[in-house]
Amino acid sequence: MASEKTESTFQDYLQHHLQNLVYGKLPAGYERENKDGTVEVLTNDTWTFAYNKSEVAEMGFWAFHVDTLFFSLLLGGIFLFFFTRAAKNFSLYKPTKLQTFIEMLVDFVNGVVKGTFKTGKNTLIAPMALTIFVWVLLMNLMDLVPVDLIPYPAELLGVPYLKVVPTTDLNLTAALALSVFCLYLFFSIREKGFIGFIKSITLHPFGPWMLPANLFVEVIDMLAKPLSLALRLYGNLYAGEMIFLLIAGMVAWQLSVTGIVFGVFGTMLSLIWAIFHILIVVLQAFIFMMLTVVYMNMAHEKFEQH
Amino acid sequence: MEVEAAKFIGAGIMFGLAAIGAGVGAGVLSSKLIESIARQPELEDQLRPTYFLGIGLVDAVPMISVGLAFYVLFVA
Repeated sequence: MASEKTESTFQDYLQHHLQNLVYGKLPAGYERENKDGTVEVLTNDTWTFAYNKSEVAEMGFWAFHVDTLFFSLLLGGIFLFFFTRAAKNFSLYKPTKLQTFIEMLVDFVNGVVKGTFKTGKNTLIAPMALTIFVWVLLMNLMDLVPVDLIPYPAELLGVPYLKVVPTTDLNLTAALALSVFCLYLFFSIREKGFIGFIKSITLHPFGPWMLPANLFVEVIDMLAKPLSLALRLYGNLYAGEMIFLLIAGMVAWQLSVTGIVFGVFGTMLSLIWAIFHILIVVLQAFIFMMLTVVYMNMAHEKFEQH
Repeated sequence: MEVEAAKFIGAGIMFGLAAIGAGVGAGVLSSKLIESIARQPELEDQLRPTYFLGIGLVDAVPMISVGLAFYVLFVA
């Protein structure tokens, strides 16, 4: 367990596991504390990994969460690899198990899109829904990997922080939601025309005489979409990860005190929560996809006279 | 009041309200699902995905609240 070396308390253990691996710029003149306790004053701006909280705070906005980027791109690569391979080795008479599984996924997403997306004709929606569903599902599934399995060996190799679930990082979910939102705006303007788009956000619920009120309502409605999309996914996965960490931290903390009983108890708890969490993991991926399709459907709605 | 005590009270309220909200929401949804299936059993396959979507939407906000409550309790 990771509790002996750097984590001195339960809270430190939690905070350590809730911190991303950050790569950013430390400004010149920053007093950097080395591992052996010596203080080194930086002479010029340095791009480096953050080794503690104050360094993360010092790096500010323009800092990269390397672990999020790495794991999300890795999972995206895995997704593309398997799907491309299945598509290349496609066989009508001798389907492999992989092909059957992927066909099931494609069929499922196809059914959802056909059932929900009815206002327009757009062949991009279904592939996008499939991509979002599988990618988010894969990223969520990283939550079922035991919390110390990857970060602890990485820590021994000298990586100060590591969060393996990309969707527990608000940056990633917000990026996904923003991309969906941009597509929503793009398709809205393409389908309705610029004038039609302006009309749809200014003339809507109350008629042309209440233009400012209409604009206010519609803009809030529009901004709520990416916000709720991002926060829902992030919040669910973050809460789930938090509970895994609490269970793991409890075990790690009690193991030295009360012996093996707590270990068994904690493992059982972890298992139960993991089984329950499978539901949330799949459901949240599904909801993200579903809402994306619903928003795209709204984007393709033609302006109606009221 | 001491900060520790306030933390526990705050987290308790968050847990409690989240549980109430999720319970009421999921209860209403499930009861309506059962009613609709009892009326029109042939619609079950169409109702179930919508039901799960609804459950997911209901489930989300309380889960966020629980996560934040743990955050308040142990991390902040």
